[in-house]
Amino acid sequence: MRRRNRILPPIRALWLAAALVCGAVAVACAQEHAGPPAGHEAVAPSGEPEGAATVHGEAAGEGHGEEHAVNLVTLVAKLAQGGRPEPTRAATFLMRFQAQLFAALVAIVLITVLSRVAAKRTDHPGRLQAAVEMMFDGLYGLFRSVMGPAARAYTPYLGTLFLFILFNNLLGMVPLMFAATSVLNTTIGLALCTFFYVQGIGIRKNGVLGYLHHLAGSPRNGMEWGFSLLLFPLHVLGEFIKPMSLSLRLYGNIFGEEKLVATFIVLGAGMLAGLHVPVGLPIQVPLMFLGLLTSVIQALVFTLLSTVYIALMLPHQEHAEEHGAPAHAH
Amino acid sequence: MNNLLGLALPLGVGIAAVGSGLGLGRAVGSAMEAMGRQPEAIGQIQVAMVIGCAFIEALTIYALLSVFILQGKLG
Repeated sequence: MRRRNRILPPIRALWLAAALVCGAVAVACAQEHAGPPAGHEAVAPSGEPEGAATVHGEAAGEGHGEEHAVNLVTLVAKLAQGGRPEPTRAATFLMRFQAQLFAALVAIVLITVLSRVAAKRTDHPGRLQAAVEMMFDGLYGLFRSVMGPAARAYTPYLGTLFLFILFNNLLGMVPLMFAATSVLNTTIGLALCTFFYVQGIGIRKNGVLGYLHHLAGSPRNGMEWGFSLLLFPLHVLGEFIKPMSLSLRLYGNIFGEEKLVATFIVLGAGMLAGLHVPVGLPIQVPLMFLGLLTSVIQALVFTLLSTVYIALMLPHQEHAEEHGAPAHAH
Repeated sequence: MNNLLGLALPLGVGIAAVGSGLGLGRAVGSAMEAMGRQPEAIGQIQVAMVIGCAFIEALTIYALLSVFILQGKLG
């Protein structure tokens, strides 16, 4: 069997990550030359909302639509702007690309740690390797229960998807950090990755004609060919709706959770104001636990749905046989 | 129009929450029953229940999303 997975050595992984970040920065600078944004996201020099400082020192935004709580990037942008009244280019850049910067951070850390563990793997694993092996085992078992033994070929993509979404979601619950999945851009990007991957698998496994046949509902006799005229647009529409629902579900859950936490921070900040106490109550902590749960569940749901979409695209004889295998596997 | 929007948005989320409450109640109820019948399968049933609940919850989240999107217009 051809061994198609090559483990990326750690140094090369770092170069790759650095190249990605530089590429993103280059695109960002090019866009900036085209013209800065409307400025409503700019950091005002005296942008502290009124209200007592909370235990974590966070402050929520004004609550208009897309504004998020203060994070590291926002603070650095404020520092970069100094006391100047209008937004500088560095501050504008940092504010515009918060999500990308945090996503790049997660990606760089994941790539570095995992490729290092994989490159230095031994038969007597240390703690980190044992943890990564446990993670892989769990994920592979999950994919195999849906797709059968064919899951091995798709585990790299699906596992990466799960880990990336999971760590991005979890990062949002850390104070002063930001979840890249709480903006629609990231989730649409992930859903589009899954969409193109699934369609590519469909075309590669079934051939172009087989793929179209599958989209028409796999008609076998004359009557089914008649139905296929109706089924084809329905299936095509369904294929387009899948990435939409994936992205909106993840975005809604993570952004909603973050919004809840931010609202409770503001609420808690003013709670003891009547007693003239400068601190507030940290009533957002139970919600942060709920946020941890939601983060894990949403990563799992996104990955599981992608697995199911891939499984649906595979040729059906394999599909029927795979249903027999997991029944015995448990 | 702001008054109407201010009435409609939370009402929409509330109605969506009713639907998801009913759906989740059914799903979790069936899961509880299945767990009672076969205690050795509790782990698997729990996982399947959580995943199913996430799907049902997503529909209410779509209604919540419309609130986020139209929040600026509430004035």
